[in-house]
Amino acid sequence: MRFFTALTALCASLFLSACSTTEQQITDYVEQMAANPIDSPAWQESVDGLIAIGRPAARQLTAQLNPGHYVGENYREFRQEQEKLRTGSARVLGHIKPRGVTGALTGRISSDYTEPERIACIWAIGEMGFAQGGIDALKGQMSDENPLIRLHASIALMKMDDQTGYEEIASALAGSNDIHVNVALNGLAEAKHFGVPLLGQLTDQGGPNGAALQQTIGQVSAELVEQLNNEDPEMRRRAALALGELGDSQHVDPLVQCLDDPSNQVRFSTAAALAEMGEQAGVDFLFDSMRDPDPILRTNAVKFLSGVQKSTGTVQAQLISALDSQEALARAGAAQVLGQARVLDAVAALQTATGDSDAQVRANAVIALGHIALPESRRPLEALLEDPDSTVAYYAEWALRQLNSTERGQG
Amino acid sequence: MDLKTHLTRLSVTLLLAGSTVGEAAETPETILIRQTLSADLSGHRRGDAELVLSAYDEDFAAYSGNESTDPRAWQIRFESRSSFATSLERDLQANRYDTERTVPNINVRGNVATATTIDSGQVINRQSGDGRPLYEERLWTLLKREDRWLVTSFVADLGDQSSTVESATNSEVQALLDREETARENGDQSDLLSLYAEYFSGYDGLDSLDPASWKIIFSGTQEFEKYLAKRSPHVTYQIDRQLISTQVGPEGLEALAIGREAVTVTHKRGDAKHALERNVMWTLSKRDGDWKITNMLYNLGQAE
Repeated sequence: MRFFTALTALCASLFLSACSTTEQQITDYVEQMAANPIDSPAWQESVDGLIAIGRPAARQLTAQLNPGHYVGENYREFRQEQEKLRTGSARVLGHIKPRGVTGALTGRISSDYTEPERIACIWAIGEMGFAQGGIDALKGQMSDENPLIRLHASIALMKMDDQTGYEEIASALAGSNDIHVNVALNGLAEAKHFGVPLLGQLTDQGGPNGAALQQTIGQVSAELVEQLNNEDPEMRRRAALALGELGDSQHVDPLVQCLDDPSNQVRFSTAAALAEMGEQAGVDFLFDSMRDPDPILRTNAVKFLSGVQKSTGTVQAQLISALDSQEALARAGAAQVLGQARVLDAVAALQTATGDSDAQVRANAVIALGHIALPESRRPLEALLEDPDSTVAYYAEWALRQLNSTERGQG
Repeated sequence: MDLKTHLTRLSVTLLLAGSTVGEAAETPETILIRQTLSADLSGHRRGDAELVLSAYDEDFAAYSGNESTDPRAWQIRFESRSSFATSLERDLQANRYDTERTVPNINVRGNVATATTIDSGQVINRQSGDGRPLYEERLWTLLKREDRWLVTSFVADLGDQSSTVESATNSEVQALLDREETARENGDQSDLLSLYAEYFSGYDGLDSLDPASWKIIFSGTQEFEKYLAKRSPHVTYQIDRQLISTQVGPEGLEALAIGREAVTVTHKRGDAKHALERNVMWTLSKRDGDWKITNMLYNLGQAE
């Protein structure tokens, strides 16, 4: 019994001693942060030290953001000290991303605070990931008179998958203010997959910063390839789609490897990315899945093939020829994709498919013709109103209504 | 009276008190502070000096604001609770108060609080029946002892006049504030703390002359001691202080000092140097033979 009591006491004492050591480290770094100019090596050292401590430092650092903290035992009469602490704390919090800090950060981005404080807090909000409160607060900064604040807010929004600030970032990159250009380029690099849609738009921009932009794209691509191995399937999926959007053929091999990913969503997104890059491996994957006995895989295949067809048009011929496939599942899937992507050139083949021996193929062909809604489909559709399969007959009626409303709209 | 009845009566009393003066966001402490201020008001209205005095702490002093929120214009009016009591009894025998009070602002930190009030109505001479209108803004400081908030000081007759009172510096007060400066520079915490009253209050005036905006930064010496223990190991203070004016009351128990100081701090963990200049107000009391700082207000505003 005594032994256990002693052991418990020893463990408790070791635990408390570890806690007090960490507390002391945090206090020391905070004092170092207050004692050195922002961005000086010693100040940065304190930021790095606190990042290394991580979440145990979060509570104390969150408190440093609050002006109400600097009273009583925490009183600091110098505004510059508070600025150093608030700026540094926001930077650290942006790295360690503790939960529930967005509210404390959004409260410090108004013009009541200094530019370094505002920028650090805006940056940290962007790093925290999607939070509606953060998005609303950042959008509020988009009308700030300081262009640097607007630019940082735009980048933070971009990191939350919000395109509100695209124009601000594009305009910074088209300009000649070196500070703004560097902020925009760093922001795009940090945004990883979230920045790719804008990078895609800017790729052909050229201009004075074209070379720097290409360099950023290279940097982002390399990080996205690394991200394909991230433990979070959502991160892998996003990376695959982003690489597809960038369309650089040198990343085909790592993408092809992801066609064996354990996650369905990653595999299909990768296949779609490859297909959009014109890579047959991706197209084949999607077509194979379209005739898979598993209905979930087929549904995914139709969804992603429709997307590829809509954005690139590269799978049209293969889809039309799939209507002649020996396998009913392939014919049914192809009809569905052609309808969803509204491929006008497929109308004749789809009309032929309305005579298919398989009711599912006929139904999908009818629905596709309804989506495309060309007048020449009227007669074959009317012929199906009495189809022995009630589903086919039902959709024939529906498709004719689509034709009627389209004609009325045109008339 | 059973507990339920007691609670019901208390709630009704609080609601009624709140309905006449309730403007600021309420907390249990602000409700208790309103009760104290209500006792002062009710005592005046009923002519009950005992009820008025029940709201006041043993260590009490009062100032006349001379129609100004600038402490440079303030004058010491009562140096002790007993001198206030004597004056109060005379006043209540001579006058009847038909006044109301609003409490626009209450700030609480730990066991100290400030409040501002606006009294309005009539003060009627009991003999002649003549009434004179009253409109008075006051700043109050309060201390929580056990479960009761008690008034430790008030500044009556605040306003927006900018006149200042002529005053010379007092050598005893000067010596104490010099000692305070030296103790701070030397990081001598025990000497520094010995110069402060146990229940002193520290404020940041935020360069304003509006008492409602003054922020309480220290609530008593215990908190000040914690602050010094946390701050002193990391910084060195250099203070260049000039005492601008001192007033000492006729009884020699209460003093008010205004100074200006340049403060520079060097950090032990880095090369940043922080500096500022500020006006400071101190009130001091001599209750047990030695002067002690009872209030300290950094960053006092300056009249334009």
